[in-house]
Amino acid sequence: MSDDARVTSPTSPDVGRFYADVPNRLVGFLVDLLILTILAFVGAVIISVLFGPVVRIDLSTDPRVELNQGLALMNGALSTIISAVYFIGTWRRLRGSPGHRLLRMRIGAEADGLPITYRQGVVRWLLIGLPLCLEASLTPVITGSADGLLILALLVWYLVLLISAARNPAKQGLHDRLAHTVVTKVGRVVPWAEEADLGQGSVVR
Amino acid sequence: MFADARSVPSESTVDTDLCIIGAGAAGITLAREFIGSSVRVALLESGGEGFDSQTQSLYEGPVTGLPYFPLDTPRLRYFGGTTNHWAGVCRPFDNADFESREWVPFSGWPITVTDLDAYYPRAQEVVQLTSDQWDTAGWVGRDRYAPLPLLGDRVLTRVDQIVPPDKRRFSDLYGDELKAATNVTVYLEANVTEVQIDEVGTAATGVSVATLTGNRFAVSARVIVLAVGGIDNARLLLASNSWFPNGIGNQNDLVGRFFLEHPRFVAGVVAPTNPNLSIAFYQEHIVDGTIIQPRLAISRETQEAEGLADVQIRIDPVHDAALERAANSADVEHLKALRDALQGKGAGDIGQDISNVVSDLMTWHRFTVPGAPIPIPYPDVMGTVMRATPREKQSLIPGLLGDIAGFLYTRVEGNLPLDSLLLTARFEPAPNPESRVTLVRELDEVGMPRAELDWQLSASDRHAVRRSMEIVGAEFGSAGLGRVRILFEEEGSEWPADLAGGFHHMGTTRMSDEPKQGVVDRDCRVHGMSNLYVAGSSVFTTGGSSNPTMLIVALALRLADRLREEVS
Repeated sequence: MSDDARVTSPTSPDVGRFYADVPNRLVGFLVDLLILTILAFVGAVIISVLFGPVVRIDLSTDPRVELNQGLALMNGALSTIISAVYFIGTWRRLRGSPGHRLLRMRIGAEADGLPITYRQGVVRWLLIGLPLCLEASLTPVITGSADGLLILALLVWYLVLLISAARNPAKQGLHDRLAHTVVTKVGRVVPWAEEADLGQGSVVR
Repeated sequence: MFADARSVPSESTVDTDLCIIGAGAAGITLAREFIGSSVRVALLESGGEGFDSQTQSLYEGPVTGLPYFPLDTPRLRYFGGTTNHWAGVCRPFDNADFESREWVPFSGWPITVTDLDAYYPRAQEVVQLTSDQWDTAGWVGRDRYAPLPLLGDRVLTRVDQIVPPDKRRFSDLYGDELKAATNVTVYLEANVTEVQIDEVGTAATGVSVATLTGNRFAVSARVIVLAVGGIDNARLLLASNSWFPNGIGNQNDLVGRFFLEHPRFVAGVVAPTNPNLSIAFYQEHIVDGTIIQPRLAISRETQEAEGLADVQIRIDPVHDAALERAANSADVEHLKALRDALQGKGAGDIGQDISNVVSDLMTWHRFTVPGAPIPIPYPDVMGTVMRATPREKQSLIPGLLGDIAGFLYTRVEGNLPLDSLLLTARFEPAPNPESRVTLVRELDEVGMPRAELDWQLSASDRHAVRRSMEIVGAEFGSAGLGRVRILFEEEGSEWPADLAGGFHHMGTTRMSDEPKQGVVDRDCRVHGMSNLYVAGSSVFTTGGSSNPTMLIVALALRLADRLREEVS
């Protein structure tokens, strides 16, 4: 373990906390996406109940499926709002999204480890949450190859975030660096970890 | 070598040993047999090396009698002849096809299948077939599909072989060989307008040739062979009337008569007991590298017992329209095209292939909840899908997913569930002297009278097809495979509206040892002429129900052996 990989967190009371590595953060993010998908589906049910079905299916006609673009865009907007509230709110209030919490990860300010500000939350969400929402919300109006290109761009973007996090000593992805945030995880302190250089990340003492 | 008839000096005479008229399956096969020999061969072809509408129009002529294709449609008039659009279906005529059968009027060839034993294997090589397996039992077991489990022995399965598409055109296969041959000259653009006869009327001395550019010359030869197809062989003999007013070989008014085709129409429909009944064996498919097309047929024993001509039946599945659409959809085609492109077998633009598939892939995305990070269908879609029947479910899944579902269904089940089966009968028509090719007054551009076709069938043909369908129906029923509804009645004179031929023109210079029964003898020599021969399906005494090309080639090879002695 190199020296520059060590940081101290003067305000953190936790002992044995280290920078959360990419696999943990990836799993946490997928848990969040699953929850958001359920919330988006509930939102779609509410819109369907309030305004009528977004997709009409009639077996006697061809084409059999008809999409109400207006309602679909409304659905996308609702999903985007849900995503913003979910991430920014939990990062700020709970010091981590449910996905983070499930894996005992915390999100804090890069400088002092304190809960992040709303401003930090918004910047972070714009970089990690909005792209996915945007792509998923635009499906009613962007179709065919353009949709495929958008998905490809999205994959490239998330790959950039992943690689930037993996290569950073403090495991700060591009989104963390721009929002000045850091994600840590509680772990069992292994006295000989430092000597063994287990590659588990940087232990925060 | 190849020569252009338009550059042969006008009014000159080209002298040769063997003159073959027509560079189709028969003519090319015959000419190849003399490559490298001391025999000088002139192969006269009306067309050039490619299609030309002006030359093709020389085939035009009126059609009377039963509805038939315009006469310039079924044949092609350029180097390679009709092999240029040949479907490649092959099956040798068997012994029964050559026999005299009292229930088939005018049946009985002067030769038997034994006379062709030595030629069928060679014909198989010429037409580029790789297998000599003609017994159905030889395919069963090697094939992943199985024939229908019909219980009796009245209906059996016959297997045709199909030449791969890239090996069907004789022009591509043998053009270079003929170009390189020093003793064979292929005269392109050479239209033969008349066969010239000697002063006593017992031998042909040569032919008159005309080009569309107005050039006219003659070819003199020791032996002449007509190989211009089932209609034009008769046309040329009839038009060669300078010596014989009714045409050469027509002393008994037989030239042009007995025109045969392989008539076909949808004669029945099966309501299958089991919608998942596999008929994949009866679809064109590949077994050990050979393309085969099995069909149902009435056994020869049953034909004899019932007094029926040969009838064979092609089975075509009719599937649920939605599933069929999915299995054959553009989406699935895009996937196949991309697969081929990635395997280096693609014919198009791989970028376009990728774009097509990506575009198709995105279709389903439109029906997922917008903004949901993980694509999940709309609640409306999920509800409808859950309430739908299994078949509706497949067609409801939009876009590529639905198409892939349909496509996978075919892979998993072997085939799509059947709505019904169509039974298309193709039968051996009884030779009928009233079915004939004659000449009309109108001349074509090189001054030859045009041919008129009066295609006729007989009452015995109706009986053969109707009774064969009844037998097939009974066998389907007793095997529990389904109920057969026969779509036409034996009574009446009208044939079904979908009656069509197979582009097989036969019988107009039929073979018989008796000059009063046929135009050519067992050696394909025109009766009364010492050195004039006919090659091609016009010499067929009966038409059988098998495709004629293999027999045409086998007879041409046999004729070559006969001529080798004569010309040498």
